[in-house]
Amino acid sequence: MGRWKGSRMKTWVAFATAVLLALAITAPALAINSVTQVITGGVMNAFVDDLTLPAITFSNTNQTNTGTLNLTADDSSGSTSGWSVTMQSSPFNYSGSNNGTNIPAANFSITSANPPVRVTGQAIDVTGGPKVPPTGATGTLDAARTVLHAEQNFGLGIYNQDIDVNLLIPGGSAIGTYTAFLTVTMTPV
Amino acid sequence: MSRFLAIVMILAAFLAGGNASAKESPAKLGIKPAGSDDAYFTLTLNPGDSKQLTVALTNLGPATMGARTYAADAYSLINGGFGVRLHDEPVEGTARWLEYPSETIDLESAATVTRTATLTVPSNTGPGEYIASLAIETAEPIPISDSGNAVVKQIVRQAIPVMITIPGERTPGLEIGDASYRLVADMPSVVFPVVNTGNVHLKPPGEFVLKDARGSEVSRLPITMGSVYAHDTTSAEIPLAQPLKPGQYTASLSLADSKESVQVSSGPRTFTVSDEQASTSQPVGSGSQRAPVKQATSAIPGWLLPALLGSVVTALVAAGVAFQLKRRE
Repeated sequence: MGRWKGSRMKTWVAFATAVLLALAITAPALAINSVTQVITGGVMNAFVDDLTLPAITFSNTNQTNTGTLNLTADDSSGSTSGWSVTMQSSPFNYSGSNNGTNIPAANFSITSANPPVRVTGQAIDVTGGPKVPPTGATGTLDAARTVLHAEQNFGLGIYNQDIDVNLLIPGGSAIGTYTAFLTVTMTPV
Repeated sequence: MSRFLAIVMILAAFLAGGNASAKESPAKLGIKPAGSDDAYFTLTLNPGDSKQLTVALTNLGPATMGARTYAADAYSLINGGFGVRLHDEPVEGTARWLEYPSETIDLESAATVTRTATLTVPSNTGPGEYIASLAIETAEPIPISDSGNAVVKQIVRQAIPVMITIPGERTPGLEIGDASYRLVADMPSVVFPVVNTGNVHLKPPGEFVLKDARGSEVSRLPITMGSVYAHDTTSAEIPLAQPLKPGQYTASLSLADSKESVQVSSGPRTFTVSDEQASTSQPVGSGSQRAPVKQATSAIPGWLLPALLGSVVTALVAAGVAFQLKRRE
């Protein structure tokens, strides 16, 4: 009985030693194999890459010049806050030698804000967007207009949007160049 | 093996080229709270409190970019939403609490720098919700291609809100002003001033109804407004599918924020469309939602129809009486 007890004890000691050895060998190996991957956020970025506003000739009556802005909205921030893109224009300031006057910003307006198209990233969701706000996207650009919006947890990607614009040129506007500054703002709400 | 690799490379090039609509941004500037995963600042402070806010300014574009950073007032956009004043507009609101001098810096490609703003809540500030903004934008406007002889240059900007809550009693409130009709660049709309008279931000959906002088419904549209910030004034602008004919109209707008238990109606607000405002009757472009307009082919004043009906009835009665008299003779 005593011999059997002694043999059992030896077996347990051997087993414990084996476990300890195994742990001692594998623990450093486990530590070496652990990998940490940190993903840092990029930026939110919206810009107009193209605008077609054809040149027009002088007229004594009002003329309407129509064109299309192509907007790209890129949420590479990695956050899930959602976002909005707004646009606002300055007046079209005259430069030339014919004593022209500036064209007010209220003459520059959005007539249609078309639905966005996904370039890459999260699919467009009917409810979460990105989408054109139900009202307020069209109108004069003397005030900021929200043209595209994504709710929280949506819009993680790159999207294109065509925005039809209209510039009302008053009759008698002098020959020359008219320059406006369009502020395109992307915000995380 | 080399043939296989060549096929894989050609396929990869084809797939990369297929993504043609991914345009290269002329500027990739970003601003966010430094050392945080949050996209913007949300703070609860007491009057007199001061806090340092550190932002990370990043340029992820391919080249060094001149960038301007500044604090700006936030405001409610038309139909609600987060608006940010431009860099050359005066700071008159909550942005005055931020000590963050406007600065123009050259940010190298892939560089991130930090700047610290000091936010101090004035000691006499009442409880409620307040909002300001920090922004970064291209220091120089960037030309947009193909814009003809009406040249448009863009300023690419990112702005983040700084949302501040001062603990205390919440008193939500909303008011709607008089309706007016606008026809700008052939685009008709009915506009109501909307005033957040309370101390909490609201996000009220609602409904717009338009009637003509006879009381017939001309238009009805559900409205979705973005945030209307506390102590701020904006407008609800309801675009119409086509211009209104001359005459008198009655418009009403109702808004409700169920979360803050606020419900308000403008009641009937009368406005007149002049002949000059009705100079065009062409339907305007599509895009975001417009209120459908159901109008009679001609705008008959409300009193004219009953008067005409009365005249016809009187004439018929007179004719009947005359006929009876003639028969008796």
